[in-house]
Amino acid sequence: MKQIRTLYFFELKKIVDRKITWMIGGVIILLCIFLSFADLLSSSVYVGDVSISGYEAMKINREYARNLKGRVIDDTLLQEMADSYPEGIENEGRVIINDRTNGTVGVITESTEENGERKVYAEQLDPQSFINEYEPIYSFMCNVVENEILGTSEEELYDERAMVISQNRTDQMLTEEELNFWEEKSAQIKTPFTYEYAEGWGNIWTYAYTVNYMIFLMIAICLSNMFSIEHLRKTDAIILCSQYGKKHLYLAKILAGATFGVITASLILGVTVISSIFVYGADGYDAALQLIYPLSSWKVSIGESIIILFGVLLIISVLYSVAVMVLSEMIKNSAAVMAVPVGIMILTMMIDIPYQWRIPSQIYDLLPTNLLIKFQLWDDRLVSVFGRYLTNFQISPLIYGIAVIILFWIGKRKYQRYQIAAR
Amino acid sequence: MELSLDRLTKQYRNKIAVDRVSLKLGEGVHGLLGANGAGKTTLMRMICGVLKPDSGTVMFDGIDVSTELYRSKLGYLPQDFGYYPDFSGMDFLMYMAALKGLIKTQAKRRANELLELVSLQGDVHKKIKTYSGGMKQRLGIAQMLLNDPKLLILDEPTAGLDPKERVRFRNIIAEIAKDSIVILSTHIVSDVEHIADNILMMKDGKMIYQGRWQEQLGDLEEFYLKRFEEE
Repeated sequence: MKQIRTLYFFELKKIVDRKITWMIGGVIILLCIFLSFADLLSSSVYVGDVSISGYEAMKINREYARNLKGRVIDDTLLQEMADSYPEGIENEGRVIINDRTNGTVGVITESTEENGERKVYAEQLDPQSFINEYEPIYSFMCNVVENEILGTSEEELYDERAMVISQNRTDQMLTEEELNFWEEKSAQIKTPFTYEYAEGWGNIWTYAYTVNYMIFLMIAICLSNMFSIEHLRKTDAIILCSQYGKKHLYLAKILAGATFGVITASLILGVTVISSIFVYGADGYDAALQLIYPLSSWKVSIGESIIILFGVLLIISVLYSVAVMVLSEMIKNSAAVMAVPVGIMILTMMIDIPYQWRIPSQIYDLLPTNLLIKFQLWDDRLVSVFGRYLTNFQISPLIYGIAVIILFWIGKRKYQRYQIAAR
Repeated sequence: MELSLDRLTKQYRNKIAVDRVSLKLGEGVHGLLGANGAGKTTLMRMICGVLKPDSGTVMFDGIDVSTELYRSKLGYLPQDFGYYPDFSGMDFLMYMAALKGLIKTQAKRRANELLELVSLQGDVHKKIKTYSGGMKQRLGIAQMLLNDPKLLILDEPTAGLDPKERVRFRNIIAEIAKDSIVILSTHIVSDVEHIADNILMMKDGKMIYQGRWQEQLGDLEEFYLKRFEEE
């Protein structure tokens, strides 16, 4: 055991000593910090000659949202909201800006895109007053109700939500048992919702897909030579003929690589969370998930959903690490090893299997590159395991765990049977 | 103490690299001579357990080559010795010591002893990538000796060493061979003629000569060339 520990630290040293680890790590961390700022920096709001940045608009919107904290989203609040907007505003065919990352702003008259920068033109109003103080509620409703938001009553709002969820489940081809499962879960979700601002936490789900890919990329680059370098540098001969060079070293390498993967995932997600909290605020950790993602039937708070995301991401990072290291032993060429994850990333970004093909679509969506996306929060398809139904986020860690064990075994077999023949 | 090879055979596609080699070797230096491509490296890799023979067995005191116990008694210096450029000499030896089952304090003490033995004590904290060819080779010799091996396999060990270092190296090997089995492969006859108790000659995968060598038998180089011409 002591030997494994010593070898483990040496293997970590080998990873950390590489310049590319620090270079790619630095770039990815900067990208993660930038994720939260990107939308705010690339947009501005024009009111006649006056313009304010997306960040300023977000701050005004956040202040209004904080003022609404604790308000029940019921008829009283919805009526107050409807009264606050100029009469007939929606009937004139104009649209109220509904961009949560941007801070929603007044009434749009024109929207253009120049040189990749989005410009939104609104009617001339005082910059402080054209962001309606009920805009956060309006935004919430936009996620559920399609038309005539301002005339919607409490009953219509929650009925509409139930209807959209039901339609969603029909599209996902849920079985009777699955529908019953979710009916029970839905009954536990208390309505009407009590409003709370939670953009800082809620946005993490929006960034999760990018974060997942960055982790995959970082692991692929940094661990692709974990085993191949021993063959390339011809250290394999002295390693494999040493007492602990076969069994112990293989385990130490896998543990070191997995640790690196877990640290990478924690760091990248951690930086993204801190950046989002820094920009949007830490409010709403205990708020119901439905306030940001109304179509979800998970009975958890937004903060709890981020903990689940973090837990699954850690398991995924272990899977990525082990898969990359095993490929490194099998292919024995770090460039070729890197090409495999990059190929998978491109492929999964381009391909989407529709719900109609229930089984292939569900399997595809359970791939680690596809799981961490906000749409999964309202993917209600389940997997039956010995009569017990598990959600995607419950079954995936089990599947990934089994995949890690299988890959570990394949890699071990390959590594220990390696023959140093003519070079 | 005995190393036993029994009808060891290895074939690469159409070429038989090692052809039914059987040997029983005791303590002392065994000089393995042969031209390039004779099968020396393949034979040594099989003795080290990093290459599986097509048939035949390798045993050290009845212990099979595939076991951890066998490897715990083995020291190997391959022909093309690999290293980690960003490790210091000390880091490298500590890493190899962990692979060979030495505990940290023991490893540190042994590493210092060996670095002194191979005259690298002044360069222990320098990165290996800054070492000269000779220094790297001496580091390779040090790693081989870490676990105080009873079976030493050295494949062209004097490559990269200057004449002074070669003499020094030969003396180290002669000392170690007093209580261990050393197989030293080379195509340079002078590397083994003064220290080898036993000479092995390989040609085309076959062992063409095996016997003790003493100075009164004449010049080894002449004998070596004659044997190869005869075959």
